[in-house]
Amino acid sequence: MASLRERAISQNTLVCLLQAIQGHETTVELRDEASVFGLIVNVDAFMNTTMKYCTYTDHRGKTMQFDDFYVQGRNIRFVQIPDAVNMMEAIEHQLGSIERRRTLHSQERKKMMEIREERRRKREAKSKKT
Amino acid sequence: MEAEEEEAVDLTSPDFDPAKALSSQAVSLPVPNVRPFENLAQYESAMKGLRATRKVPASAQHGGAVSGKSGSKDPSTEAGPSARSLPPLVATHRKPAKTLLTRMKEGKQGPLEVLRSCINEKRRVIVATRTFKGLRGICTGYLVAFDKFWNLAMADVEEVYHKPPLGKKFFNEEPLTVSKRELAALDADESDEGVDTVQSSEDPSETLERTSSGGTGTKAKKTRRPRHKKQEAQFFKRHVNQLFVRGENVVIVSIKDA
Repeated sequence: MASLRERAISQNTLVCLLQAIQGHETTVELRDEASVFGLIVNVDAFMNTTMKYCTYTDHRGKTMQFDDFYVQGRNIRFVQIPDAVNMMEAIEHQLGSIERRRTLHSQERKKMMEIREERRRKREAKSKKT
Repeated sequence: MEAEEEEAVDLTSPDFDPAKALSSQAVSLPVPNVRPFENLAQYESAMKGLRATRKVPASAQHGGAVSGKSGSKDPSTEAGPSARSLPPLVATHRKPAKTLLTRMKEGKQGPLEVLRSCINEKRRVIVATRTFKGLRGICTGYLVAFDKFWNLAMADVEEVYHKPPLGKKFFNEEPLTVSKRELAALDADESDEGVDTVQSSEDPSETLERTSSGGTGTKAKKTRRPRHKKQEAQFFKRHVNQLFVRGENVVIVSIKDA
């Protein structure tokens, strides 16, 4: 799963909008005038995008089919957002799910720390005995 | 003798001797389950925080009993039984995290504030986008969201753009600018009349409907002109309902209705 840093980035930038349209079919336009239409599987904090079942149209208009496609974030110029998506709601929803994951993560960490602390105490007690 | 020592080590007694307590093994805590601080600075900041928020007269009692390597002392122990009701001293309280939405609402001076006002007042904006050399096109639409990288989420976007020629021609091409001419081309497009290129001014001979590969309600109208010896930049016009623009490609954002 995404690192803390990645999560912070996607929480603070519009990348979360792109993450919100994971699972939708749409067109991603690239900086070299090419465009890719397909199902968005995953978008990371750097906007690197993995897609599926893609039609790639190059700058001359020639099309090619790809089962899997990976776009490096910097190569993206536009992403068309499907009409079915309300952008503001999508952003809010995505931010909510990021936040939920964050709290879950911190709870897990707290548990881990407690376990560690307990082990430390046991070890100390043992060393005192001997 | 032993009783005295116990007294010195007992945290609650008036004869408490911190120096002895540090070296002694027999320190018993009134509150056993406290979490030790990791260093002095943490202790200090926690105490300051306490004083600021709770106004506990903490300095009155603690005789330099700071957490040592034994990790046994905690300032909350001095505060007596009420210590349990105090908030945990290790910073567990969290500020509500800053997110895209809070950042968009933040009242910071500067260009991003203008973007915010565009959203609030629902004004149309003109966004010029770039290729790796020069201007590529102009998007006109309503702003929905933005961030510090100038990534923009736009709605109801009308885009006028040209495809840069390929090969060597590309480098000989006259650079486009966001000039009045370009804007004139835009206006001409909007009234759906002739498309103006930078170098030639003939009427478009035919228009084709180009079905874009995007199934998202994208329509692109392509205006072709008779081939010249010098093939000029062709302008395309299309409409996208919702568009995300990566900030890297944004040259300039201006308010249309201003």
